[in-house]
Formats: sequence, C-alpha cells, structure tokens
Amino acid sequence: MGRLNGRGLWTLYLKEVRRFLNVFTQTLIAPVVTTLLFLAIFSLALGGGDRQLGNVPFAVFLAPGLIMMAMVQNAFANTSSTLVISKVQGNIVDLLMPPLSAFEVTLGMAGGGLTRGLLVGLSVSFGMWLFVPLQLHAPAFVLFHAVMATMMLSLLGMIGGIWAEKFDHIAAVTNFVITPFSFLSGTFYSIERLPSEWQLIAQFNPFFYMIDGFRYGFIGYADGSLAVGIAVMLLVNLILWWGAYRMLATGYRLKP
Amino acid sequence: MDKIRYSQPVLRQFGLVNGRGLWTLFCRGLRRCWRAGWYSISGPCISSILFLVVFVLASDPDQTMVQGVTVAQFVAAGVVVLSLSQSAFEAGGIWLMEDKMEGVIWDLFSAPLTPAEIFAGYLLPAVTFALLVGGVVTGLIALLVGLSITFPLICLLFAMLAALFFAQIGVLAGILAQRWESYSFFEFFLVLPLAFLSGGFFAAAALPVSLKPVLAINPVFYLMDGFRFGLTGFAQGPILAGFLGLVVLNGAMAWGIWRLLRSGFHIKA
Repeated sequence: MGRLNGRGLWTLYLKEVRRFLNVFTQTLIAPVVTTLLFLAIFSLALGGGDRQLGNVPFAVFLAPGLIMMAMVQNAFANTSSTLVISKVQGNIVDLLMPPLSAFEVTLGMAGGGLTRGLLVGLSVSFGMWLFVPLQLHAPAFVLFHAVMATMMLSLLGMIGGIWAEKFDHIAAVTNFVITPFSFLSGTFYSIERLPSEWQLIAQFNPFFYMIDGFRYGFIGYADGSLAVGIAVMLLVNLILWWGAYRMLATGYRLKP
Repeated sequence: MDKIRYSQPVLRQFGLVNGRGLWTLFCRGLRRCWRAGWYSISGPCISSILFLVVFVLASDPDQTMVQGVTVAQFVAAGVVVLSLSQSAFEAGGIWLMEDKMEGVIWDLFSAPLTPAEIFAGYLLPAVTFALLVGGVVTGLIALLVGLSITFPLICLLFAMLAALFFAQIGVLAGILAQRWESYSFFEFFLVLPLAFLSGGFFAAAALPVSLKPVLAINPVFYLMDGFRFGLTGFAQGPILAGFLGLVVLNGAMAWGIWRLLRSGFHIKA
C-alpha cells in the first residue's frame, strides 16, 4: 500500500453506497413522496391567490428548501445508521480491523453519505420539476451548497453515530437537533418574517445558510449574505472533519 | 407428622375471553411503546410543535383559513391527528413485525390465545399509546396557541377512531409485510399520503375541482374534520355521516384482519 489504501477506501465507499441502493424505495423514492406531500400541503394552504415570497411564487420559493431538507436528512441517516447498526450488531470490528486509517474511514463513510444525499437531491428535484417550474439561476451555488450541506450532515451523522450506543440515542439526536435545525432554517418562510431578535438568532443556524445559498442558486434571491454563507459552510465542514477524524483516530466509544 | 398435600392438577378453564392472557399482552405492548419513558413521545411532540410554528411563520400575519379560523387553529387539528396517526401506525405494526422477524410470534400462537385476543393484544396498546401522544400534543398546542376546546367529547371520539384506524393499518402492514422494506412501504406510500392529503392542513376549498373527489373518499378527511369540529366548532364536511362511515370502516377492517390472523396468513407456514 502506498500513502493511501486506495482499494480499501474504494471498497468501504462501495459498501456504503450499496447499502442504500439495496433498499432504494426507502432511500431514494420515499423522500420524493414525502417532499411532494410537503409541497402540496404548504402550497395548497398558504400559496393561494398568487402569493409571492422572495419575488417568486410561493411554491418556487419552497421547492429548493424542501429539496435541501431531503438531501441533508438522508445524508445524516446514511452515516449515522451505518455506524449504530454496526455497533449494535457488533460488526464494527470489520471496520476497525482492516488496514484503513482514520482518515480513510472518514473519507469513505462521508463519501457514502454524500452520494446518498446528492442522489436524493437528484430524485427529489426531478419529482419537484414535474410540478414546479424550477429554473437554475446560478448552478455553481446549487452545486457548492449541495456538496457542502450533504458533507456537513454526513459528518454530523458520523459523529452522532460514534457517540450513540443505541438506536434511541441517534433518534434523540434526530429529534432534538436535526429536525428543529432543518425546520427552523427558513425553508418555509423568509426570515424577514421573524421578530428582529429572532432574525439574529436564525443567522447563527448553519442550516439557514445552506438553504439560503442553495435557494439563491435557483431563484436568485437570498435572505442573508452569500459570502458569509460560503464561509460558514467551509468553516463548519472543516471543524466537523476534524471532529470525526479525531473520534475515529482516538477510538472514542469505538475501541475499548 | 405433617401431611403433604398435593393438589390435583386441573385443566385451566377460560371463559369467553382469556382475560389474564389479554391483560398480559396489553401490558407487554404498552411497556414496549413506553420503553424510553416520557422520551418515547418527545419525537412526535417536537415535530408537531415545529410543524405548527413553521405553518404560522409561513403564512401571512393576518391570514385566516376559512370563516375566521386562524391558521394556527386550523392546522392544530391536522397536527394532532397526524402525530396520533403516525404513532398508532408505528405502535400497531412495528412490534408485530419485530416478533415475526425474530420468530417470537410463535410464543403467542402456541399460547391459549384466540386470534381475536392476539389481534387485540397488538391493537389495544397501540391505540392507548397513540391516544396518549394525541393528548399530550393537544395539551402542548392548546398552551401555545391558546386553544379552547369546544366539544372535548367529540374530539375524544374522533381521536379514538383515528387511533383505531391507523393502528389497524399498522397491524395489517405487520401481517402482510415479509421484510422491513415492504413494511416501510406501507408508511411512505399509504399512511403519509392518506394523512397529508386529508384536508388537515389546507382548506378543502383550496383544492382544484378535479381533486375534490379524492378528498371525499379519503377516510382521514373525515377524521381530521371531525376532530377539528371538536376543537373549533367548524366543519368542512358532514360530521355525523363521517362518524358513521368511520365506525363501519373500522369494523370492516377489524373483521378482515381477524380473518387474516385466524387463517395464519404469512405467519403460520
């Protein structure tokens, strides 16, 4: 082996990808159904009378955020579930024993989550596109925020999965952290709608920037600063990379 | 010298219903749902509140849904019934499915329990748990939105029907599914569409005319509508007819599931 165990890394990545492709109705099609249902009820309830938000029809404002929410939830689910299932079933040794460095494990696993997130993004976007006139305003922003956001949640999922000892623990992280942050991210409303002190708080939510930047790529309108968004995404990802890497390198809750 | 008395072994007699067996099953089911204590219902509570908050924030400040019912009041019923339904489905199906996959379901079929008792043993804990979830969510929302419940009894009635309906779908899914993947198929392609496209979150009048019949044949529309009538005193459809229809539907489902369990479909080889 050279500096990088290329075959090992590729094998781990393939395992992670095949895991979710094997149950693609659950992992790629189900998000399309849930997201379209969300779109339907929100635009039926609140999109009447040609209501506009961010200079576009309400459904067009809503769609990018919903796509992003599906992507990040799936990225998180992929890495967290693979780790918790391996730990509960006891086959985590198969991940720790092979000649894979902590860096390679982080890369392979996060790569799996990233791939699932992006594929979900594609399938959900296609489903949305059938009902909502989606247009690309700045594809670079779409791509950047899609990759950064799915990577961020893949890494968070790894950290959560390493920390959790049972399924209940990871469900707690999803309920108390991921769901609130993604719901209160500005997917469904423009943060101008919030009272001013809450607007400030909303700007400390990294999920706000991923959705804002991603939506800018589609509709050309942003609630917050785009430059700050890019910086926040890069910084948060860097910190999470370091965190996940350190956890794997030290064997926190993995090695006795 | 003491005499040792041996009691003569007697055949245990059951009346019409194996009361102790049923009670044991019921307690077991409830303990399973309650395995993480109050935390078990924190998930539905958090997502319900978030749903409501997001709905209110996404609407225009002075928007009303129909006839002076505010967005929060209108959506409250939808949020409660949605959380209750999802809990009922999950509690009704997941444990049966797990027992099947692990092979422990044989412990039930070899015990002196009739198919009806086994059915009730899975169904009733799920209904109880779902009603608990619905009650807590209603309480939380009432505190947040300042809801005064107009007809509490009607709310309870429709909540019970909703819990029964979805718990029965759960049990049905648990019987029919051979793998976890097909079990979750029921959730994503049946339960969620039924619950979301039910008029729980949007006014029936907002639907295009072509889609109105879809709403009219969705039983969950009547569940949501009845519950909302209990909460706010406002109804979009016929309440009494909806109620009767739901009772008949639940009865028919119970009969069908009982027949399935009795035949041992997908359970007994």
